[in-house]
Amino acid sequence: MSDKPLVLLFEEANGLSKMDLGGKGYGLVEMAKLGLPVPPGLIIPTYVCRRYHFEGSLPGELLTMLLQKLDVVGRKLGRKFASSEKPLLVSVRSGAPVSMPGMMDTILNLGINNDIVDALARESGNELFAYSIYLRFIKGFSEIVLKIPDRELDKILKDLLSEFKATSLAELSSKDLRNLLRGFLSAVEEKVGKPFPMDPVEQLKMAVEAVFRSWNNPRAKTYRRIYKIPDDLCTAVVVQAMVFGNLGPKSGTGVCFTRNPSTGEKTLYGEYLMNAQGEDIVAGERTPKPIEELRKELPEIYDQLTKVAEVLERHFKDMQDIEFTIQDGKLYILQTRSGKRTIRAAVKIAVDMVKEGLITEEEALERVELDKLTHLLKPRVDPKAQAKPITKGLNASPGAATGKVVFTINDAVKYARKGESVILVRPETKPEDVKGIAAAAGVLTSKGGMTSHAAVVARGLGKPAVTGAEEIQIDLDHELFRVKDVVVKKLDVITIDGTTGNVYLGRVPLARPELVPELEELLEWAKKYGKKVPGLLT
Amino acid sequence: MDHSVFLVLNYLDIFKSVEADSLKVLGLSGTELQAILEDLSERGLVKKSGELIEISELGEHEAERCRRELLENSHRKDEFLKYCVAFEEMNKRFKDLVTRWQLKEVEGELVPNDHLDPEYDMAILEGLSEVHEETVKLLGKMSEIFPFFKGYIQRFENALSRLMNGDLGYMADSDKQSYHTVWFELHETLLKMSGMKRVE
Repeated sequence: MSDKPLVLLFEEANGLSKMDLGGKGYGLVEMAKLGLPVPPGLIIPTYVCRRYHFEGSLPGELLTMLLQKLDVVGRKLGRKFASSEKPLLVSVRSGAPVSMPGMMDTILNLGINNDIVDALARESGNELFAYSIYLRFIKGFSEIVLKIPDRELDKILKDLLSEFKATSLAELSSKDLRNLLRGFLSAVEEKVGKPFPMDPVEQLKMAVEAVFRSWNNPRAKTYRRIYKIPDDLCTAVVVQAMVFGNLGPKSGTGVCFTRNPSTGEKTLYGEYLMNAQGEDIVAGERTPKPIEELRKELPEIYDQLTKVAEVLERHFKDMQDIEFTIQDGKLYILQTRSGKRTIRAAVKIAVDMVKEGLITEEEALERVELDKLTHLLKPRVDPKAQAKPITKGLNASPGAATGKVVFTINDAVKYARKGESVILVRPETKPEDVKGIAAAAGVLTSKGGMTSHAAVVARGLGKPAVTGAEEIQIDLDHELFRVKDVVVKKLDVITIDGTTGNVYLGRVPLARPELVPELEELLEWAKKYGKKVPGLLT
Repeated sequence: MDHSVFLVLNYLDIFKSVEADSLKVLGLSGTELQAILEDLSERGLVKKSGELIEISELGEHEAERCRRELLENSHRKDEFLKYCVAFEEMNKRFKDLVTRWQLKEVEGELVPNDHLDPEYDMAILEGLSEVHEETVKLLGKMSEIFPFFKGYIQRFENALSRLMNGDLGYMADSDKQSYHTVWFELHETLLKMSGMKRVE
């Protein structure tokens, strides 16, 4: 272990695996190799984190190595870390080998202090920018490293702003900006009972340690337990030169998928905010714009982003989820990873990628969780049949079913045993009714909403359900129900569509939804390669 | 009536007919359970039908009478009823979580949650952890008045632990002692005890 490097520049990490570099680091190394616009940076591999947790402290030589490599990073940009001339600010990010979204920590804008903020203001000629960067850093560092709860920090800031009779930094004069910053710093220092670290090297050391520690925070541990991720994988740390999306009107930040993650359609899908930093998109204080608008606002950047998406997809042979920043009209890519997607999108993307020659049919089958396909295979009432519903309730559990009406649990079980398809009709359901719901092909209730017992149980069993169909009047004594002037008796046939909430008299043609034409193709391949698709009846 | 006997009778009143094995969730020892069932059967309150144990009409009346007696004889009745109202608030939150767990809005349409988005699921599980913490507190207070409520705490803990160890069916599957299965049973018990109506 000891002869493995503790710190690697992106360009030195070529050939190392995702296990060592973490997903984020691996993506950055690959992108740098492809010549994509990635801000320079370095990686502390996962084995260093393992060593940290084993020994209980950072390896003695880590900080020296880190500063040496950071010098190289700075030189590429004509900047220097911890210097008040052309200062280099960095982000310190976590990145495990397996995606654990939002579970671990990230610190942005690190390497700033009372002197450096002024250097930044002079250099950019934008005092508001420099001070808001500083404020963001103090806030982020205080929350993540010093462990002051976010809501307390928000309150301190809000109180200070109101002291200055302002609601945002932009309203403050240069003098007030400084005073507010000073006030914020001293409030933080009072909370933690010691001075805020002004030395960028100390900040860096504390941040790296905090990211390592965050591997074992309760949320991350819970996440690993649920998703069966081994505890000893550990996280890498990416330290990367900051690029600023809040430098002015020609700067911005955004996230985008290379294809639509809901439908799989091949088009950039995402959102962005001009004059903002990444966390603003998540914070939700300003509403991001759909990525389509970037095409009009900054057509060259949009074209470039489209090209980047193509290069990344060709390289990784999968749909990617990208984070980007535009600094003064120049595009930077900060992260790429395989994008999460719905099962519907997974099918379309896999089949499309075979047609585009990116993957083979067998790889396509591996890309799709075949046991989840039942969601897409659920029948619906065939719209071509143009059947008229007798009433409509809530679409509580998707899918459609035709069957004979029964009103009791015993009948549901009895007729189902005989192989008959039955629809259980009840005013509402109770725990004792579960057996009946399990035996029936579908459930119809006159009371109860989307969250009712019948709805929850039916969904859990994958059975169609229409609940809260208030127009139907159930007469349990005579085993019939009425809707307006229609009377439906026990063993009459009805059809329910839990996707629309519609109820029909008699048998109505059902069809598999034409949501994903590619599904048919994928099912053909499954047959061809002998893969079983659970829940596929036809 | 002895609390353990009441526990069994009330459970049977909620589920009507169950396999003898399923009564194990009540946390009684095998011998104790057998003795209780024999006693209830002798009194005509339950009957065995093949593998199933069913409550009789007499049993239903007896369960109802016991619940009323428990409540009326307690000098902390009003306090208990307040807890039942508090539970209704929790119930709204819990049902919302379960619904989001099962159904997801994609492109404006509600579709079954395919559980392919851990971030989405995780947010719900964190919501459940909060509801759980408050529910346990509430059950703690209820069990100071009626000790048999303590059993629900253990059953919720079990479901949550299974869930948090990756067994996602322990949120809402009806064939498991899932969080929803236990929740619905508890809710039904509280409604029966308090005489409140189900709000949908």
